[in-house]
Amino acid sequence: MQVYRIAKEYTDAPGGRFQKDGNYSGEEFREIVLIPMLEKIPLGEKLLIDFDGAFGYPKSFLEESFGGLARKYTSKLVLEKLDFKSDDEPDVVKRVLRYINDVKK
Amino acid sequence: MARTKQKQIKYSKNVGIHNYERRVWRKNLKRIPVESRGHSLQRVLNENEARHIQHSHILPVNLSIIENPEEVITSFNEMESVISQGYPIYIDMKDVNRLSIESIMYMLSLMKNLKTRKVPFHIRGNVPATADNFHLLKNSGFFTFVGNNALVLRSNGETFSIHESASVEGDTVKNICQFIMQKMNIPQKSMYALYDMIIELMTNTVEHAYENGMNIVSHWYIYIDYDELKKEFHFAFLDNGLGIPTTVKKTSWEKFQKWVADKGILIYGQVDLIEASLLGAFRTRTQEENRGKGMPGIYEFLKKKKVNNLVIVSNNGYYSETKKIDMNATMRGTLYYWTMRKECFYASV
Repeated sequence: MQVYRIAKEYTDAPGGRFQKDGNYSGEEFREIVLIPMLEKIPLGEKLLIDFDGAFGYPKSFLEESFGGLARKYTSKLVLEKLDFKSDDEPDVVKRVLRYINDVKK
Repeated sequence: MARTKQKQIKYSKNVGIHNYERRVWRKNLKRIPVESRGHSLQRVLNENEARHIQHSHILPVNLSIIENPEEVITSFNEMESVISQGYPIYIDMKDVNRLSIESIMYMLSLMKNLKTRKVPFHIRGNVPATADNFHLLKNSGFFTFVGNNALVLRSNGETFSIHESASVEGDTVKNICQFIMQKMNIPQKSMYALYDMIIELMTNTVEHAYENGMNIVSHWYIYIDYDELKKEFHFAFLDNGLGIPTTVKKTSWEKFQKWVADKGILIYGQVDLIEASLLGAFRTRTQEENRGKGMPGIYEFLKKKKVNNLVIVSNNGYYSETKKIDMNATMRGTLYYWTMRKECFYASV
């Protein structure tokens, strides 16, 4: 399974929600990382998002990244394509799943 | 010679400056050093001949917004009013025996807003007589700010000087976390809650605190210091925007009224709006389903003891777990103050 480590490959200091608010926003992460990667995942495979190693993940960042992804592609598709791992703080995965599932179809 | 004729300056009898300064003022009128940025003293004299009266503004002995909100905020509002009218002002801090950082931040924020509005101002002042308060003022970066209008984040081992910005800055919060980790010898993964909280406060400022076209600068200030005696960190975060009671969206009126009724509140005030915002009774101004998680998140941290002694002061509302009051004084913007001991970083999320 392909693994994407946010802290190593994007930033260990995520920002806020929108690009206009500052660097390393959830919107930017979704647009320049998640969407291109999602579209390249082969059928039947998944991408593992590893959250470990960062200083934290603001709710706004997570919601805009993954909730926004679900609003674009649907919750079902996002959950089919992505897996999540966070040993540092397991609550991060719970939140991400909630944001994805909260998106109305 | 024309300038000399204009030198019929009337002084307030209670100028409050010592004799040396009085001689300097009268003798070197053209070369008075101006300690604030803005229009030069000479141009103001030309433009506003009637306004040569320097006001001396004496700050309260207890200059802590957290402990003495009514008096301190009223004092700052009066000070701002004098400055806005173009009068030179002398800020007298020498009798301040309780100086707190959020008050310094608020003062800097008022000055910055005046400068942005191109209000010419001429501010001089003295420093607190006690060594502790003087060092707090110095370490806060206050003199750096009034000197060259720059606030630089740095640590002197016990404090982070006041840092100011108009955007959401993950790197700033990372530096803060590293400072705390080093001071308390705690691991990085224990920083999650604090990191989240500070980023959410920055986000709230940048996204909600200001209306377009407001003639003030969108900015926040943050300061952290470590109390060696109590073994705890003190945090102060300030934005100088519209304030929570003003910005919360009340279109979910029925929801709010139910919340008020459930609380048994007959007449609600601004502190109730702050509390309701923490409890998620309102949607955010955006009214979007996926938004509005910042304030409830902070309240969640408070309940789970990840932060202690949270105080929020905004407009006329003063909120803490033990004290909820509607003040007569109105604060511009919102102040968040809280403390954290080592165990806070290990409390479960």
